Amino acid sequence: MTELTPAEVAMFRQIMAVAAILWTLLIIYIGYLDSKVRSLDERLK
Amino acid sequence: MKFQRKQAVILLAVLWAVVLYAMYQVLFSLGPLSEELLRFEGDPMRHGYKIFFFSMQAAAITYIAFAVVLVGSVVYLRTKNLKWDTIASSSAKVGIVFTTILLVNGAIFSNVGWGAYWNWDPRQTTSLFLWFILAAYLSLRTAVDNIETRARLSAVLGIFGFVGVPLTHISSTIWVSNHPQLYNTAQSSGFSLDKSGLTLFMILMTSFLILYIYMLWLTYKIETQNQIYQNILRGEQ
Amino acid sequence: MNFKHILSVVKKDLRVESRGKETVNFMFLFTFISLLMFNFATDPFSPVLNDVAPGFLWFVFIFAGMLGLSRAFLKEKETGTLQGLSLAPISNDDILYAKIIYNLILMLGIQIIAFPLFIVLFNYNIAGSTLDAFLVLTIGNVGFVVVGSFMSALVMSARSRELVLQIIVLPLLLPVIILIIISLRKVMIDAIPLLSIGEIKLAASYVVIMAVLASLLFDYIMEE
Repeated sequence: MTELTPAEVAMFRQIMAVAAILWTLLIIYIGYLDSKVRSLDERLK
Repeated sequence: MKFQRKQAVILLAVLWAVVLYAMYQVLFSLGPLSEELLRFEGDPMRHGYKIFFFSMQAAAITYIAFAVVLVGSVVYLRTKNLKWDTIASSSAKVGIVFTTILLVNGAIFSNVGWGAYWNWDPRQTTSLFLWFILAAYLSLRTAVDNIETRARLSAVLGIFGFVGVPLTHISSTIWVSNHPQLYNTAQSSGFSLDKSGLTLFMILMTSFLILYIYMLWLTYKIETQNQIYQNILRGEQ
Repeated sequence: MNFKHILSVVKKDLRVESRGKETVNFMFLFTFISLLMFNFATDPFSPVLNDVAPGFLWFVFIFAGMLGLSRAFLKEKETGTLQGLSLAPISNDDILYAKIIYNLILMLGIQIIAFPLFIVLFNYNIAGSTLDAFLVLTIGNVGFVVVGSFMSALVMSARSRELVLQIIVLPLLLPVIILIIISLRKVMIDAIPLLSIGEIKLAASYVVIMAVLASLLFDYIMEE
């Protein structure tokens, strides 16, 4: 059903890998910002 | 119920997993574009159309970010409550991230579909126009010192800048464009999604929307803390 | 909207300008110099010039206009006459309209001088009607002046105003700039009559939207 050629599968794997790394980094960065904001919030109180 | 650190971690983890899963599904198990829409044998659009799943989300979030800037600006001018100005500026900051994602996605799409990263398609040009407006909005904010003046002036610019959204939206209809149409107009080569495609589309849309709201909240928090910090500094002087 | 008030502010600006002639002289010289510069950018006898010249002509106005526009309200701010102006029994909208009209007069003056200059310097043969090309430029300049005058008032209280003004005005005018270049090329190269160009109507409607927004929001800029 998917009709992917081997070349396309290889390309999609690469895209997936790059996107997954970028996405993970973004989420980690947001999480880092979040924890920083929360700790500052406590200090400002 | 308060939004605690633990809930934030869970939210981020769920977002991470859901988007990765949806992306995997889009890439590997979604079928190719139907035959009658392909322009020639071996058309890269056969699977290249899948970029749409990501550029469309970014475009929708960009519009929403602009709408929030507009609403925040209008409400600020009406009520003079600085909270709304902070919301507008946070939305502009998050919006410029999504607009950049939109531009990168658009460039990849353009390369797959039309053979050049930058094709000067009306859609692409007007999206760049949106990016410039947000950049102008944010740079105006850095150039004004007084908080109230800054809020007032940038609110006016925020309302002005919203003109770009309808312009971008109709750009591929009023100009000669290669951009695929989303509506079934007479000359359009619009494509429709099957059920699994639509489900994936909705999943991605929802998760990016949640991501946007979360980022907006976070930026809003950071801005508010910044203001408190500056007030403390001013108090010490 | 009170025409008498608008006219009196325009008259006042023209009188101030006629005494010092700072802006007009600078704008004119700048137009002249940038026309020369663009001429050096291409070989004056190459056929390429035919294609790029309309864009050059329009950019000359944008650059010269930037020079003049940033003065519209900043001059008032610097000499401290802005307060007097806002104390006068003239509505804010009328001040804006007066500034737009005054800037438009300046731009039209520059246009009348620079357009023949361009034809001579570039040795250019306009394929369509000269009047149409002139009108296209005028529509572009109207849009430019409307957005520019408004934004000039907006950046009055910002740091490094002249710099910020360019950054704000150029993106907001991007649609007009692109559309005017397209229609200018259509008139000057393809000899299409003005009224059958779709782009110019689009540009005009964009300008109208901008003008309406400007008059709606101007009160918020002037309140201090």
